[in-house]
Amino acid sequence: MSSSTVLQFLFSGLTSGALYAFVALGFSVTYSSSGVVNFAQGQFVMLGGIVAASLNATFNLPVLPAMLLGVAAAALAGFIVGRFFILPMLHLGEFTLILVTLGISILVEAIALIVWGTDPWALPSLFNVDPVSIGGAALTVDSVIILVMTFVTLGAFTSFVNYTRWGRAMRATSIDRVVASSLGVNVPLTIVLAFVLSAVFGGLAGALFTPQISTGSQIGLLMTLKGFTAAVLGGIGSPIGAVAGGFLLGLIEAFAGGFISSAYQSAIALALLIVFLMFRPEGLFMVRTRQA
Amino acid sequence: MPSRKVLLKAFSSGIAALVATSFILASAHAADPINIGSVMDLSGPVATLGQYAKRGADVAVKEINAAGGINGRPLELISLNSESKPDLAASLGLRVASRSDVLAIIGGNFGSTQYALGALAEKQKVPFVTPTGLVTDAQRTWSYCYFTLVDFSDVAKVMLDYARKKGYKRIGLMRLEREYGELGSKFLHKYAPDYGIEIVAEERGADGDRDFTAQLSKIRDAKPDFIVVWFANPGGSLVLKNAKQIGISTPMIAPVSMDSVATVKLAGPAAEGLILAAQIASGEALDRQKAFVAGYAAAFPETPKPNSFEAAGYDVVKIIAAALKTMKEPYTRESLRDAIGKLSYDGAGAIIRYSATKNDPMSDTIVLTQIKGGEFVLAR
Repeated sequence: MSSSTVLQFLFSGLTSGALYAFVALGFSVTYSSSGVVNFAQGQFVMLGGIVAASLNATFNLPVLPAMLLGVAAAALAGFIVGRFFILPMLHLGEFTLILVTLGISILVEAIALIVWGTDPWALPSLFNVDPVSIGGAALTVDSVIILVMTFVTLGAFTSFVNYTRWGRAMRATSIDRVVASSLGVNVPLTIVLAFVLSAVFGGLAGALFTPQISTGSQIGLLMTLKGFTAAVLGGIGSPIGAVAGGFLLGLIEAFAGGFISSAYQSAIALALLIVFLMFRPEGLFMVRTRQA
Repeated sequence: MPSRKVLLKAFSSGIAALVATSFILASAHAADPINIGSVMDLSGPVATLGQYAKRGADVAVKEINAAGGINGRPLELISLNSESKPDLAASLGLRVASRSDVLAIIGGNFGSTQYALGALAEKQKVPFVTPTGLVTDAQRTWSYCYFTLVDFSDVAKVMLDYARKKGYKRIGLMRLEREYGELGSKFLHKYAPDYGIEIVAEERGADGDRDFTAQLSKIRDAKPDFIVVWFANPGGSLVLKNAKQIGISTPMIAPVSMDSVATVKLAGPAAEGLILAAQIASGEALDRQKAFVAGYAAAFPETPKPNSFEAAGYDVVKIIAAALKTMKEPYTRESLRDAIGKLSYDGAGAIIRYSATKNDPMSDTIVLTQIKGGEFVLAR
């Protein structure tokens, strides 16, 4: 196997990995603030991409504003989910809320099916240039943008969590809702904010990836599954863990497909998910903590 | 000022009048329609195929009814959505089959729902015409089921034949890991030696995968002179795009599942030159396809180019209509089955010579097309 082929596996893994990382990051944000595993996360990815693609195709809106509106649409959906579905039902417990998010996911997909139909949607690239060749392996400009944006987003989010008042409020909420509330943290608002943020990450992933991979009204659930796997691998409670899990999943898929066989590519990734859920549910990058 | 009560009264009597008149109108028009149950996968994973087939079927119904129906009776589809679920398809199929005024069933848009409906049709003895192809050899002996897509073994042979004519000797295969790709792989491997062709690489991908550069790099390393992309959209278009990105310029061929404008829309310039073993050439329609292409363009001016699935959807209705036209009233399921069973019909998407031993289309139904300037023209 030539070195350029192996390098191509790496690029392939990094590109898919960045997508999974974005979705996993969204999972991590809502999980750590509200304890909810949001199974509608993938639908934010679908919305961000499909809104951008349809605005571009139908109204000839340039790519960048179309992408921004896609992200805005996802953010709005995140607000609606957080404010009108999660908050009123927060007291029902985590398991019920997971089912609620699964229901929302099905609802969003059904609406998307009516609005956008079943055909796939494409979006032109932000910059129309040929892929660059590094060591004989091709890397598209879209992939580079996606990789850069993954780290920019992660950096911005970690600083937000660590250095701003709202970020600290989110961390406090994640540790103990009641104590945070008694210390003056506006818990409901914090949780809605977390859903909006996670939707922004999902929407960003959808908008940024659509030029590379296209989108459609039905991709949401798939994105949820991939992102959830990534989040579990890396540790769903930590943003850095989630992103690392995303890249890990992408690289495992690419190298398993490359070196073993593409026949077992998805099977290997899913087998890993089961192993992790059984033996290390806190993820690779989380410190084991004692539960009170 | 009129009171609320009066307004309400006026409103409700208005509604009542409307309902009454529509009833009168409806009964006046009811020239006893010919009912056909349509069970299609209009949502779920194969919704794209279901929607295509439904569009084609609707064009056919419109065309038939505009021309005065069949023996003066309009054709009516009872349209149900099986959501890409075989169990639901079977129960919806049973629902329409148990209606005595339903003459035939159409539908099933992929192997699983088609098989469920087909098995039910055999049991309930109701004629079933599907916009798909055979999924098992056993289905060749089924006596109530009729198919409109060409068998995959014939598709594989057509691809290999094309490769031989072009002088290609080494095939790289990029295929779906699910059953559809599995079947393609099976037949290509089976017949390749007969054509003096070797399959030098075979890689798989899933419908949901979003990057295929790793698999394509391995295919590139095997140095094929022809690549078969046995895939469905959107994955297949991403395969084409990724291949171009990593500099593969080897000629490629794909089965009917890639025959749609989605391929051009998603893969863009990377779709140029792709050969398709399709059943219709939308950019350069054959004589038997012209009426459908024109009718389709009038019905869907925004996407005026029909694909093979839409042609198959059109054909399933037209096959039933053509069979009915050879019959005398009263139409029964049994006599309709007999008429379909010996039907010769040159359709938009399929050349039909059904007989006691053949219930799927002739292999010369396949039209080799090529994407040129975003159009699907005949491959030369």
